[in-house]
Amino acid sequence: MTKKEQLGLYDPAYEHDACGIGFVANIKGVKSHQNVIDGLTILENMEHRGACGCEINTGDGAGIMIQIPHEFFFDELLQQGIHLPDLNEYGVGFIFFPSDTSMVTACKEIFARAAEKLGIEIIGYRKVPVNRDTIGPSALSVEPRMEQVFLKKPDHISDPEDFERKLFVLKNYASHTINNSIKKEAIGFYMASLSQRVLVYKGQLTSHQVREYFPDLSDKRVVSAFGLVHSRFATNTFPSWKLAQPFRYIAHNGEINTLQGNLNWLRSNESSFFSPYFSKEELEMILPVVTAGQSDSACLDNMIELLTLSGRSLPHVMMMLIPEAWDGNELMDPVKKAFYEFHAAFMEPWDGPASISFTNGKIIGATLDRNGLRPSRYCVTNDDRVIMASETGVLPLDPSTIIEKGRLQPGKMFVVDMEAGKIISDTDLKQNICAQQPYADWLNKYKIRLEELPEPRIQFTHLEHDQIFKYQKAFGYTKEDLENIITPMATDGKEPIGSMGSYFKQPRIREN
Amino acid sequence: MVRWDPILNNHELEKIRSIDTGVFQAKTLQCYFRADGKEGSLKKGLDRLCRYAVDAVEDGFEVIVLTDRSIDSEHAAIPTLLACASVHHHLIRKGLRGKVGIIVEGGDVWEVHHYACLIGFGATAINPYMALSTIRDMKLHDKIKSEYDSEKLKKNYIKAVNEGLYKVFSKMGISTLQSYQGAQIFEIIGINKEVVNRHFTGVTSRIDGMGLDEIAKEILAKHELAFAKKSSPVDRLTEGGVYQWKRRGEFHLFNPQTIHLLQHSTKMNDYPSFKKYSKLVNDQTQKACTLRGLFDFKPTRPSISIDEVEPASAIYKRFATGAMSFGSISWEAHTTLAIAMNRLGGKSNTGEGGEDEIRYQKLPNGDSMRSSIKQVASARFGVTSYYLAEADELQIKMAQGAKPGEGGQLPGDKVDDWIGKTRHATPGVGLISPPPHHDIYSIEDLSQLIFDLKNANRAARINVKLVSKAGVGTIAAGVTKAKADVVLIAGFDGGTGASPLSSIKHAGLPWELGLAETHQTLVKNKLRSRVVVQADGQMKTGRDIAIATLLGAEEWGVATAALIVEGCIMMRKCHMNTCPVGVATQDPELRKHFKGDPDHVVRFFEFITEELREIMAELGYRTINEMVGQVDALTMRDNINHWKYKNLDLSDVLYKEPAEAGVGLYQTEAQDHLMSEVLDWQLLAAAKPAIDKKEKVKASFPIKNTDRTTGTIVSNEITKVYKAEGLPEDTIHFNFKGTAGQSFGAFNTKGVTLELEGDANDYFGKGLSGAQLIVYPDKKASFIPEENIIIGNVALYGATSGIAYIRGKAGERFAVRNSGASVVVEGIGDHGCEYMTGGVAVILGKTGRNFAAGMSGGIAFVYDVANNFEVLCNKEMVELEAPDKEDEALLKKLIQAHFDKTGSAVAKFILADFENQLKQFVKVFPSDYKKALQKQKSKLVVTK
Repeated sequence: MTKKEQLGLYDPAYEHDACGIGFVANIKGVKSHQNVIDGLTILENMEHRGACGCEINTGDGAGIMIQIPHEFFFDELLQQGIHLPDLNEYGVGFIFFPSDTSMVTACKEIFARAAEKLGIEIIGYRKVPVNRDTIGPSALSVEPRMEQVFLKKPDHISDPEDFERKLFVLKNYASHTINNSIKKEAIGFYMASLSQRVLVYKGQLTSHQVREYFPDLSDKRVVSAFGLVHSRFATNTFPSWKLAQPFRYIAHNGEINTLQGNLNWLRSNESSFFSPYFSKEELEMILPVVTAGQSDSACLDNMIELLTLSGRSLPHVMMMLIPEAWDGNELMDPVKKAFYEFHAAFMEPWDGPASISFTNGKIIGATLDRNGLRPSRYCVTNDDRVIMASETGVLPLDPSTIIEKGRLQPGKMFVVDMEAGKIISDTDLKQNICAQQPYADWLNKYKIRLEELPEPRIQFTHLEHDQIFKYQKAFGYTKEDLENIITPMATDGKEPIGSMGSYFKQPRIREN
Repeated sequence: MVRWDPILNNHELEKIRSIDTGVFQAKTLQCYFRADGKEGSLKKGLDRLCRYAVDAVEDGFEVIVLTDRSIDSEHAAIPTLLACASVHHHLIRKGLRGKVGIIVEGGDVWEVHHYACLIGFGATAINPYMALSTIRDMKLHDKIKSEYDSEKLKKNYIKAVNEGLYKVFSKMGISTLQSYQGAQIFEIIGINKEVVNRHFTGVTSRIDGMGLDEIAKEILAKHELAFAKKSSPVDRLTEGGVYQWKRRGEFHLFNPQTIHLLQHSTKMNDYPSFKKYSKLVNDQTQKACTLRGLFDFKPTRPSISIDEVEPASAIYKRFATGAMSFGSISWEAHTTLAIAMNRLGGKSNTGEGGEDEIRYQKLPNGDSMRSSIKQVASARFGVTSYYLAEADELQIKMAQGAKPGEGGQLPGDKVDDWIGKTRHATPGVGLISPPPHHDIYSIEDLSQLIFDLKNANRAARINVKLVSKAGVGTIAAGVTKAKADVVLIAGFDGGTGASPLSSIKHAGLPWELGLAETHQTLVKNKLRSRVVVQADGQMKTGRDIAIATLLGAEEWGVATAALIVEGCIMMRKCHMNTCPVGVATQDPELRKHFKGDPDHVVRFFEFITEELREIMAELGYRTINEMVGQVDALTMRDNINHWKYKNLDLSDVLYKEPAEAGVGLYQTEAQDHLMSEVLDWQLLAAAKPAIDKKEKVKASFPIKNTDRTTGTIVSNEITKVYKAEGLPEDTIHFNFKGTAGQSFGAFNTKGVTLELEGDANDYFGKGLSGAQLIVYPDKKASFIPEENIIIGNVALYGATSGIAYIRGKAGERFAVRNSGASVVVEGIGDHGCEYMTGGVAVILGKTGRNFAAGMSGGIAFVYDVANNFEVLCNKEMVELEAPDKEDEALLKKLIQAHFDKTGSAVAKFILADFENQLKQFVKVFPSDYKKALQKQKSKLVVTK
């Protein structure tokens, strides 16, 4: 945010957004162009869940995540005289550059140095063709220059996960460095995605504009086993292309009411991070995990990215951040409860109404907050497709092909493993995750129970009447506090009730 | 790894203090500073505390106990909130916070808000030793009259704190203590940026104010009382008087003197007396009670003659009275306001209690008791198609100023037969409004409700009521984008509604802040010209209205002052039904004392407008429109010299957002509600013969998810002609095939049948008002209907009458706040039939958790084949029993109809083996409702 925007009482920290989300996926992982088309249709049928700004043709943001269309990129780059290696041997980044050409060069130079530092070779860039015909002036005024960057997997890295981690370090490091060093303020360099598996097309668009704006998406060679979409409704009209969703792992419908606390806890722990998957230097290159000026959803995506790349499965991470209501739930399996209780010791929930669709390119799934405050409907067809969205009926289907219609239940998860070619139910999925470590044993070993603690060395000594009276005065108790607040709480076990409001919410402004 | 309840008793704290598990130890740190009154003493104390805290963590302690017990005559306590937040943020900055728990042993902690603040700023647990000692002491000295011993009283107190905390968390949309800890969802008022940035890092504080030395001064003032050396120590506690006016207590703007002047002047038509009243209220040089009391006018243009100012008659339409329900105030008080506002051309507000239809007929003398503004609150009391049709404005109450995030409560003794009827509830049974609107958890949900209401009454403005708090401007921008016509920013101060004392005192902010933020944000977003901005909250004089206008409001609400004109004397007993002047009571005897008169209320608005026009003339504004948002005509009063608020900085409040060319500062353009494309126009064409001539009509339509709010316009048109009665059953029968969008059948009225082959989304049958809804899966579908989901979440929310047959399962929060509809469904999700007050729900399958929470009326029958319903039901307010003979007939009838309409296989199976299957049904019978029914029956016997 620039200085100008922070004058007066407005504070961008209060921005919220909400939306519609959805995906279509082939359970067996079969790629097709139809999945991309269907994804866009789902998006268009949720137009009413998004919003437009002060102009009818400037949307709040919309986008789609797909798998990397190798054939398409191979052909496209060949025309530039570049020979792409095989799929899985390279990563693709979708970059928003500032529109100023001179700055683009500066960005690319820094990006190149960052890649070199991590031993990653840049194969080349591709300018993403766009069609601006129907885009509103507000959106156009800050439209970034869009390019894709292709990065070769270093020969010495054999595990694709290791390469994904390198790309993550590169993305964070390059973004921080570029936004901190070219000009005093962040210049708007942003990577919508950087992965060897997935690719995000998004922008300050209405749901209907995504298809037109990105001609790539209508190319028959652009194939994917899934299309994950998001249509945004923001509480402002300031165009920001990077706040459109999907992000790199998720599309989020809802809001996070605990964000400030979550970020505080994250920050207080950042300096003590360690991980067998990252070197000390790499960890430092990643920080800060969450940068300023982002939406709550973007922060959550950053957190998920970090946790999943440091060795946990994506569903495991979702269970940590958006746990079910386990405390006091007598019906829950004790093994699962132990999992939640164990994780609660070091990760507080990112709490609020939320429906989240997530993918790492190999599995795709969705989860819902513990109270089920956002809608999530799905159906499964007899031609191996799963359609999941904020609403049912977003993709026209022949009713006779539908074999199941369901909804996500509060706290539940739904995952399609496209590599294994099957749907994994909430029960199976969580049983599997919870059985990976002896969480219950760990709990029993380390948990301290107040009632089991030994008697104290010194007993509490009661205060005498005079002392109490003195302290009451020192701490500012009034007769009213004693009689109207403390007494009823002690006798009834309830907070007292009153009426007619109060003028006294400004203790600093009233005189004593 | 430790998890404790947040409130520790003294014994538990001592256990932790001496804990040593071999790896786990605790360190106690003293929170004090030198009571020498010198500059920098408090800072020194805090610096030392933070330094020691870092040492403690580095020395390997896992728990820090912050205590203020060791104060003495020379050492005063650092407030534990300041100490805790300071240590919390210091450790975060050092990257150490994650290694340690913070326990507060605080003498200055006694009400729920204190605990909430401490936890919100990082405390892991709290020991309120003084509050507990106080209880013990009061019991010992017989100050607490109770049969409980002091141990039990202390337990009770801790329980009350825990429950209060739970309420606070849930109203902030947070479901666990763990997530609330450190979430710091607060706004600070009157503390300077330096202190906030260092000790309360990241929290909003917008008007600056005191620094550490001023805070120290305030602490020392209290410290002196306790440890005074020279003069004899004060022998009693200060009076208080925050909650109710007391002779020696806190100053209130409405006090016996101002109340008398206001009542006298409006009764006697005595403008000079009114001026005396407003002078007393406005002049706050000595007693700063409000933010606006700190402002002064600073004309930016030459004064004009008052004759050049637009006439009062052009201004009256901008006034509304506050939303107070019939129920919280008496019939006499409520209708007097309505009559007065209708005479003036202003607007009165129903509040959330529905409205007796008798008020839609004009009185013989031409007066009207109809409230122009109809409120739609979370409980949806009496929100029918007819109620909505009889409105000029529909107000969605997102929050109430005096208790943001909390639902209203109407005690059972206020629910007499009349109120019960108006609210579609059982007389004698207390009513609780659910805290949230179950159909609004996100901005796109609100957008959908606005669309629903616009369909239910196209002529009405849609008003969204927000409460003033940090970030409200951003919400208002979202609400404007969601197509509200009016956004109301309500201040924290007001209301006859009953709510917990801690919310009265600590939740919400003055409207000045929220209004200024809203206007600035809307202008910045180029949205201001699309929406009317209204402000309310203890506006008492023309000056208040003028300031609201300059800060950005073109319309205003007045509530408490209007009640006072009607006779209210601020007894603050509205929640007790004992109001001695007949304003806030339903007691027939007390109501006889009501002395209010529409003439007095009219006069009050005349006076206040006159005063407003005088100010307009002085400031040089001919019209209100010219004046809206001209905040440069305000300045901070220069004679503010009290040490406590001399450092306040109101420049952000008085900041004028530069408007780009062509961006209006008040509402000039209408919202595009996108009504032209709705399916209902086709439906309406087909329904014409039915509406015109009551002819039977049948038609079929394809439907898709983008077709939202179906049948609502048709129902509105029927209601316009046939009122509450509607059309004879099944006069209009529409068939649909496909997937229906959200709010299928919302507010549909009598005589309409919607039959859907396919499935539907959220809010199916919302506010159902007599129509019949039928839904079953596509006939070609191969799945088993009762095992699959067919309609979404929040179906039949706030339904008041009608019937629905659903072949398949529904989502979460089914039939919440149903007050009269009958429904048959084959399985539902969590929170079914919550807060239900009437109607019948038949569940031919599984329910989710927390069924029947808060259910105080109506009956549910659950087909419990799995025999586990008892665990899933919330039995706090209901009894589970077997259906009796009467129930049997009702069940059979409904299940038979369900089979006939939907072809349900479950229904068929049950009917074929009814005697046996009946045993599987559980009847869910609300206890209060049962008692009320028995009472009614015995009454009948007596009268016979």
